Parts: sequence; structure tokens; C-alpha cells
Amino acid sequence: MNYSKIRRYRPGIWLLLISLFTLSLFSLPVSADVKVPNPSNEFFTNDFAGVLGSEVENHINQTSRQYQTEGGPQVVVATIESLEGTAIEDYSLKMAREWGIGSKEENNGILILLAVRDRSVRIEVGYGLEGVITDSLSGRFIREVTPQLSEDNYSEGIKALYDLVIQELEEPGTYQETEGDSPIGLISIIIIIIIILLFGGFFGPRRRSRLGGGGYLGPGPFYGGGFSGGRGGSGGSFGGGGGSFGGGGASGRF
Amino acid sequence: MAERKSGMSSGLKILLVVLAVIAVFAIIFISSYNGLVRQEEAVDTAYSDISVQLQRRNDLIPNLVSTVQGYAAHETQVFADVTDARAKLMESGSIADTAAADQELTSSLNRLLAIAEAYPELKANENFLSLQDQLEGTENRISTARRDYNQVVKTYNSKIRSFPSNMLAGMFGFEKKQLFEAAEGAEAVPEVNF
Repeated sequence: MNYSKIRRYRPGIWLLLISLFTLSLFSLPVSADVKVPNPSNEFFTNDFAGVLGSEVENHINQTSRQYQTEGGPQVVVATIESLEGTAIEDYSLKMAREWGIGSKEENNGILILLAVRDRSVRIEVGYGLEGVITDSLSGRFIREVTPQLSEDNYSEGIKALYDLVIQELEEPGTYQETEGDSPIGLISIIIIIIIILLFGGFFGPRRRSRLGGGGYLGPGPFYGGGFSGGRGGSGGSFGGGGGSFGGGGASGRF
Repeated sequence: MAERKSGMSSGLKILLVVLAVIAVFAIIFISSYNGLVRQEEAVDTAYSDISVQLQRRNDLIPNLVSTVQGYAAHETQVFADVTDARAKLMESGSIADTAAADQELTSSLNRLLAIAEAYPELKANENFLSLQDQLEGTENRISTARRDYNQVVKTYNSKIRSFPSNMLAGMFGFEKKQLFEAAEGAEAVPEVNF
């Protein structure tokens, strides 16, 4: 008698679980078109095209590392073979955003991207540094190193470009703040899960043994959905801080 | 007797279950309402990002036009096109009109910059180069802002149509938002005469 009553509640619980699961599906991010590689362990130099000399790499790593340790901006250099048909502006924006260059509070990230086969170069400037490294300044820097890049002196050209940016950054910039995303959705889902679990325990041992499998199946998919968006740790001591980019900077061809 | 006792306690259980269900739904509705509010704000913020960049480009244009005029005064058609498109953008009301005017202005500005290719002295002018960098930077920011805006609008629009937020959207008047894109056939493709 007791069992038949309980059985009547079960469709309701399942309906609840199904609707919650459907809800969690809508919060998954939409993936975009181009695939951008993951940053290297060094983070500051990402020589995917293999065109930078080791001294230049060391110079950039040391300078950027020291700069960041002092609380300064994050300046990252990347070289790639090909843009795979994408505009350099789109590629570098995606890279800078995915890597989260710069800190979340100050958005002080800069990405210098060289696409060797497309013969294009770009300085992508984070929101917080748009006032310091302006578009016209970025354009001037790029024009200054274009002769070196045209002669395929990528290592020298990139070092010169990097040094120009660093030199300019010695002046303090204007910073903007962005608000963080509050995880209200996740918190409420966790509360609901706790309620459902309490619910399951509510009917006493007989009830639990009957529903056991179903009751605990619930949380599984939620955790999967809720945390799948998180990025794995980079392992090294340096990585992106989650800075925002709005498309500032300049690009050039050589 | 034992049966009656169990009957009473199951009545209590039903009451508690009903309360728990109500609590669960209340939490779902509150968090989904807050989600809608937050996403609507995100849409507004994203739109104001577009507006800021459109304004920035509008401010750049007079300077750019006068610089190019200094070297290529007889290219009157392009200057007129740019000026017209700029005025149209400033007057535009709806999002679709703004998007169409933005497209037209972008294409006329591209023609203006293409002209510069034919004037080596203009191309060597540091002032022109700086304006060109700023214009290209602003165009890039506009396209970034436009893409970000369309992304949040799509998320928002799908949210107000999906359960259970669609019920709340109906109750509290959350309406579908327009994408930033020109209406079909609205963009004027200019004739190029050589």
C-alpha cells in the first residue's frame, strides 16, 4: 500500500530531473569556427611556426615573467604557420580571449601574433591597455618592423616589435574594471540537488533502497554539465588571468 | 491501529513533499528570472558597446575625409558617399536600419581608403596613416562588438523561448531582441563606374 503511493510520486521526480537537465543544456557555451592551439608551458612565447631564435625566446620569457611578477601587464608572443583562411583580427582575438591574456581586473594583456605564410602580423591589445597602446601606435610599431619581417628576419622583427611595446608600457596606463560573472545558476542547481537528495532520504530506508539507483543518478549529468566549461590548469606557474579583449590594436602585412 | 498511524504520517509526508516541490519550483523560477534579467542587461551592454564604437568612427570620419581631400580633391563621388552614409547612420532608428547604414558606411570607407593607394604622397603622410590605423581599429572593434552582441542576443532569445523561462518571459514582458544585421535586401550595393 505504501509502495503504490510512493510510485505515484516518482513520475513527478523524473519530470523534475529531466526538466532540470534540459535547463542545464541551455547554459553550455557555443563553440566557434577556428581552432586555436593551447598556449605553451612557457606561456609568454608560443613559437608554433618555429621561427624565433632561442635568445629572443629567452629575452621575451624573462622580460614578460619579470614584468608580470612586478604586477605589470602580460605580453605574449605567438607565431603560427597559417591562419587557415581566417582574418588575422579574428584569429588573434580568439587566441587572446581563449588564453585569457592579462588579468581579469585590469584586462592588461597584449598578444603579438605573427602568421608566417599569410605574411601578416598583429598586435592585439586588451581593454585596459587601449589607452596606452593605441591603434595608431600599434600601427606605427608594425610599420617600423615591417622591413625586417619582409626580409624574413622574423626573429629580429618580432624582438624589435616586442621591445617597442614593452618600452611603451613603461608608462602607466588607464585601467578599466569589468564585473565578474556570478555563479547563481550553479549555486541554485546545487541547492536543488541537495533538496533532491534530502527528498530521497526522507522516506526512510525502505524508500531509499527502492529508489537508490534513480535518486543518485540525478546529480551525475549536472556535474558534467556544470563543470565541463572549465579549463584545465596549465601546470606552469604562469598562465592567462582572464583578461578581456574588444578588438583593439592594429595589424599589418609584410 | 497500526494502519491508521501509518496513514497519518503519510499524510504529513504528502504535505511535506508538496512543500518541497513548491520550494524547488520557487528556486527554479527565481533563478531563471534572475538569469533573464542578467541576460537582458548583457544584451543592452553589448548594444551600447556597438554604439560607442559607431560613434567613435563617426568622429574620426571628418578628419579622415579632409586629409584625403587635401591630396585627392577631385574624388568627389567617394567623399559624397561617405558623408551620406555617415548622415544616414546618425539618423537611423531601428537596429536593422543601423546595421544597414553601418554596412554602407563601411563599404564607402573602404573605397575611400582604396583611393589612397593611388596617391603615394598621401600614403606616406603620417597623419593619414594614423587615421587609417584608427579607422581600421574602430572597424575591427565594431565587428567584434557586433559579433558579441549577436551572440548574447541568440542566447537570450533561445532562453526566453525555452522552459521554464518562457513562462516568466511571457509574464514579465521579456521580448525577443533583434540581431544586429541588415534586413534582407536593405543594403544598398553601390554601382562602381570606371
